[in-house]
Amino acid sequence: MKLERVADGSIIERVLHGDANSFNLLVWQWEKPIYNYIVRLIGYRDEAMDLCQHTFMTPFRELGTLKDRDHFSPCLYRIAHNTCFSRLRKEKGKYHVPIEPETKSTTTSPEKRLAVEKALKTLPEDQREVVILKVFNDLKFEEIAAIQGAPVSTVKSRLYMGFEKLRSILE
Amino acid sequence: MHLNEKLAEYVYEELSAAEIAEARRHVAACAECKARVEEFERIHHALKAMPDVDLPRRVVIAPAAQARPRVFVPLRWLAPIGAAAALVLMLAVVGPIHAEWRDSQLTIAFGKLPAPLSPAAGAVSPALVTQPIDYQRIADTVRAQQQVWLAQEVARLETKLAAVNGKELNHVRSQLDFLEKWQQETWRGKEEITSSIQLLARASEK
Repeated sequence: MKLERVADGSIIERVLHGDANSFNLLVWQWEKPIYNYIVRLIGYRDEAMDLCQHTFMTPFRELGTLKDRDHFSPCLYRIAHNTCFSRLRKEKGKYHVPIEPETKSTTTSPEKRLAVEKALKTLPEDQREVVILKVFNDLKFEEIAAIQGAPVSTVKSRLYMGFEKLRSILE
Repeated sequence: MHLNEKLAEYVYEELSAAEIAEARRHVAACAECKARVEEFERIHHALKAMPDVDLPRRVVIAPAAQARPRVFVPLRWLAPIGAAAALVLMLAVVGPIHAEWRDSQLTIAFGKLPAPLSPAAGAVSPALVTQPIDYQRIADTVRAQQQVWLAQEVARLETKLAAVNGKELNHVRSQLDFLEKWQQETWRGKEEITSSIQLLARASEK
């Protein structure tokens, strides 16, 4: 049985009127895109699961303060962004293991996908995040700008630079 | 006029209807912009071919299970607290207690005192002196014992710390750093291997 999506705003209304368990419906609707965003940004699936759980705890506690209930996902992405970059900053101080990109793309599809995945990991975090949010999460430039706290022009510039690097790696 | 910085907005259709129509006409006529659009779309589709992964487990928020505030009890306090608790328990179990302070010495008697013998007629017997329980004195004694114990612990730890010189500390730290790095690299390797296996498995299924 395929469940129909319910408007975020109406779920939030129910939660705020005492049906706290309804929040899990909101989680169910957004857990996969948020988890995949975190996995692609961080790179580790186990850790991404913990960060994903943490991402949903914050809005659950502060749902009453949410101004625009029909725009829950930008708030969620913003929390996920803060969570991930906080974690990335911690790692930066410790050590860095460079990932060598595969410079030659191959003909078979799985290998090519692996090459793309590796190439994506080589991008700087800001560029990688824009590429992920634009290509995989289908967010508008203005939404990405709000998540990153940067002007739209900077976001577009990061996308162009990211694509240019990917092109040079995958050629 | 070339698309330039509007290229991405054109591909992702974030321009107004009029701007998109104009851009389409331009791309149809301009070989350079057409090549750039195709290159951009090629990278987009190469990325988009990466499949989404499933969550290893569901995220479930349990509203009833609110986090309880953690009660922080330092380990060094456990021993004196345990001793005090044992004393209180013993007092409760043993029952009546009699304390006597004489000649700078505290005498505590537990349980019922034997009934005083009836004095023989004419004999001079010492009067049985009973005093009220001095709880304050008991508490002061326990507190004093705790302070002695704490002072001993602090002295022991200071001695231990002084014995560990800087060189040994650095050695231990470097060992910890190495182990942490090794663990992270193992995890990283595991993730990449898992990802590769999944992709190859999907390909073989097709």
